[in-house]
Amino acid sequence: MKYAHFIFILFIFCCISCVKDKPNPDVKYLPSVSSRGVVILNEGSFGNNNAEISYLDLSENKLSNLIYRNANDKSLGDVAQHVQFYENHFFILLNNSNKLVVLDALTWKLKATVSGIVSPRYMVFADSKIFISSLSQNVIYVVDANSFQLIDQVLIDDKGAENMMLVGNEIWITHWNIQRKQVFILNTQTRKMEDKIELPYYASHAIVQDRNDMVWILAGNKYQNRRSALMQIHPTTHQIIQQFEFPEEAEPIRLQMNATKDTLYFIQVNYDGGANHNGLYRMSIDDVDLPNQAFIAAMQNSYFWAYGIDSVSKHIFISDPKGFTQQSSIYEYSNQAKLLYEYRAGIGANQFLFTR
Amino acid sequence: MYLTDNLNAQDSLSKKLKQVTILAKKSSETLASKQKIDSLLLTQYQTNNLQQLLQLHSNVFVKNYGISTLSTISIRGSSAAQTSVNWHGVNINQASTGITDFNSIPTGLFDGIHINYGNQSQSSQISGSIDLVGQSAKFSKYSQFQASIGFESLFNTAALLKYEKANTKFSNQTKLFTSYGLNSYEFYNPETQQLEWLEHAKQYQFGCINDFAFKLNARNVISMHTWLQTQARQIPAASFELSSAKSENMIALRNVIQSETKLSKKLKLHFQTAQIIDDYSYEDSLYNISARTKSIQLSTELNLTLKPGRKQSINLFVKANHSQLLNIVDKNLQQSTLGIQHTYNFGEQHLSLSTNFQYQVTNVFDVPLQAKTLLTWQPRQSIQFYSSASKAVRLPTLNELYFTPGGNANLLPEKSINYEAGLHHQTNFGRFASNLDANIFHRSVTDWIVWFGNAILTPRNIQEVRSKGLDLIWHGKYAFGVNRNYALTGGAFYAYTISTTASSAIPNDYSIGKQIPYVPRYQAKGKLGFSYKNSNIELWQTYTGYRFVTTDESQYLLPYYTTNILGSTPLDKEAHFVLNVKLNNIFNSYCEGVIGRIMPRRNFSLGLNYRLNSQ
Repeated sequence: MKYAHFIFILFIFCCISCVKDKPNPDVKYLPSVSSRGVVILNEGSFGNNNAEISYLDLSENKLSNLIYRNANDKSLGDVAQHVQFYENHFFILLNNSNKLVVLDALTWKLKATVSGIVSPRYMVFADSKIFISSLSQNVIYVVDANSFQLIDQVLIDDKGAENMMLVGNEIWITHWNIQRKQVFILNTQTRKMEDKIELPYYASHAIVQDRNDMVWILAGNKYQNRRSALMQIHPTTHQIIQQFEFPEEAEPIRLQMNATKDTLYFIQVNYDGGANHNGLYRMSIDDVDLPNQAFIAAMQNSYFWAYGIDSVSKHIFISDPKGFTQQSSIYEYSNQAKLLYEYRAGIGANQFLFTR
Repeated sequence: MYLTDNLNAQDSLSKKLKQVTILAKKSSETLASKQKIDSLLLTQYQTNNLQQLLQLHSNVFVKNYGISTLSTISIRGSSAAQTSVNWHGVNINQASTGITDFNSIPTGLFDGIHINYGNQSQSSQISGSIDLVGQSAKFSKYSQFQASIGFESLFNTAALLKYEKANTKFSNQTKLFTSYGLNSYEFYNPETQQLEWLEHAKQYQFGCINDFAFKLNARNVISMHTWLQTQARQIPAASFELSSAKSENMIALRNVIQSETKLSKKLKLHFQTAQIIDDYSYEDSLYNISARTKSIQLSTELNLTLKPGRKQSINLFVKANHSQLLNIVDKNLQQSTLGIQHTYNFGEQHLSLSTNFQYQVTNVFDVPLQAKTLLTWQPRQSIQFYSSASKAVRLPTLNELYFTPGGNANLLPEKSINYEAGLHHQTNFGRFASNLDANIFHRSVTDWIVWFGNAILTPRNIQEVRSKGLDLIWHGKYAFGVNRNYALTGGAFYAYTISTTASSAIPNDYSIGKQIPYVPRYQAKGKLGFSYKNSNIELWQTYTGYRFVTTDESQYLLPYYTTNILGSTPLDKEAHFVLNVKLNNIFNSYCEGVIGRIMPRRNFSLGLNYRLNSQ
């Protein structure tokens, strides 16, 4: 009995086989963007500083992850919100890192960082300037797209500016504030707010323009008890031509047009992962009703977070963020909603930017 | 039952050997999966919070968001909410979140800290418990006064006062703790690749416990316990953030009234009622965000213990619990529990079998029957083997059910099946004494609740998680010199934990077979020490393995080592004054507790305790 515990420990060591602790090392690879492909922006999970870039080479159907870290040997930041391509650079807004990051599009190397942009959401380019909306500040930031300097802040009535769109010399700014029923109009020349359009619904957040130059706006916030609606607005008279109200339980987001600008696409998100109001929807700009069924339904216990439509192949790329606790699944569908490929991108893939 | 005390206690070895007699009388108790924090350690950590003690002196994994910010624990791969924290038998985990912040528990407010790694105890939890123990009422004429002050090189200060007075009728103990700190320290920031000072990390804490007991007669004792704990703290920026304007305020008021009645020699009645109010507020002035959660828990328990003979005991209990978010009046969780526990000792065989059944109903969801069985065998006084099997549940918290937005009122309880086995062994070879606890465990939890989403988080029962592993705790002591005044001591903690997702409702879930986040597979601590009479010095070396940030192991934190020195010595002959010194992370190891939360480089702390007894 004197040596009983040593025998026992030997026994339990034999029962439990140890597992290698060190994870498999990342394979460092930097793809070239010279071929046709998709830049996938992974916002990461809030507070974990794990925003990243993935790149899908469409000629080889090969997806590469951790591009920013591999090129720059550090983290991109926390919550990547929006990416745009301009003059051989990628511009990326990092929401919780309060910054704009500029990358060389050929090397993926960090070119500049513009700090002091609090809680940035989306950007629009006009006259070599970048206009940036902010979730928490009642300003539109203006950055010089060539010198990468913050040059101005345009005051707006309230915090909550969201998606924006360039219409001639105007930037139409949606406003995802649950107390606001407005779209603001900023003059890019004077850099002043010059008008606002009253809407019948609160919390506008997405905006597109169709082939007839009509403006479509998506508004609402289910979780703040604001009913969602899709509105069509005349670009010059600012009259609301028609409006479509969603059911109370629907949460539509990410309004987009196809390349020919005759079909509207949007996601309905059901965070419970249920079958209702969960998937990618589409409707013609001439339809008189909202679609009843998803064009591509999300699988049980999942929801979609972003999508992109390839104007060449017409293929649709959709991300399933898997709760932002692990890497996203990217599904490539044909324009007939047939699943073609599946890829594995970074955490919280939230935008697809096609390179030509 | 004191055999699990570390051998570096101030008690002499001879006293230890006498206590073996007590062990024999309580052979039904499992010693191996319990750790009772040594009285000397409690003295050394009088002016620190509990997370600092657990981090270095247990097999508990402490998930630490910073020196004075949120600190939660994981035992054997569990989530923080799966472990209960008990004070006078009441689970003090917040009703809203289901967790306890170990940075808001001053060690000095308690006379004992017990860690139950398994789940053999009567209270229902999936993975272990931490018991915060107050001193039992003595009902003899005496008084005691104690004062402690502490200083940390992070510009933190703390003070503790204890006063206890008792006679044959009543006993009262009052403990006051306060601390104020800047938590200002230098750390290496990998984002900027330079050394930086932590800012916006001030904290203020106040705690007060009063334990009053009144002996009505030889058979009846009534006691009242009150604990007020307040804390205000700034939340510093993570290493990847430029600045922070976040702050938190917490107020917790806990009241427990107990009555103990000996109805006869064989029958004892225990009645208990408790009220816990938690008020938490959060503010981020940079983003104009504020939130407040206030919850209340009311519980009542009646416990009848019957000992029909020397060999067996029967315990019947009834519990009722009401918890509610005070800012959502119509949302609550009500539970009623009926339970029975039977223990039988097989006398000469030194075998003991204990079984426990609990039937629970709630107003929100169905709860399956919970059951436990525990077999202990103690062939000699120095060694005890045990094995146990149990079914346990973890009920969803109020936030999980009702938080707006995202709460899910359709949640089900997490359900676990647990198996474990182990031994407790104490040996004495002349001047050498050794104390070993070794355990293996296997646990399967279904309907594991995961907060799913980003902008809107929703808890869902989507995973099955299996945990298995082994933990070891060893302490040794070699005494020498005249009257054995000198001693060399050694110790080791080792935890091997595999906790992986076994199945999931998420399509194409990449987490299957992967380690769950923030549970290191390997943790180890080793100690070498030297003592002379009541003075001692110890060198501690720790290792914490890889911790994954994501469920698919795609992002992780690197392992780290720390080296620490602890020492204490009395300053006068009667040991009224005791000086404690801690030198932490002496080789400036880079330790990232949680992503973006980097722990201090080399730092020290000093503590001075004064104790005066009178009869």
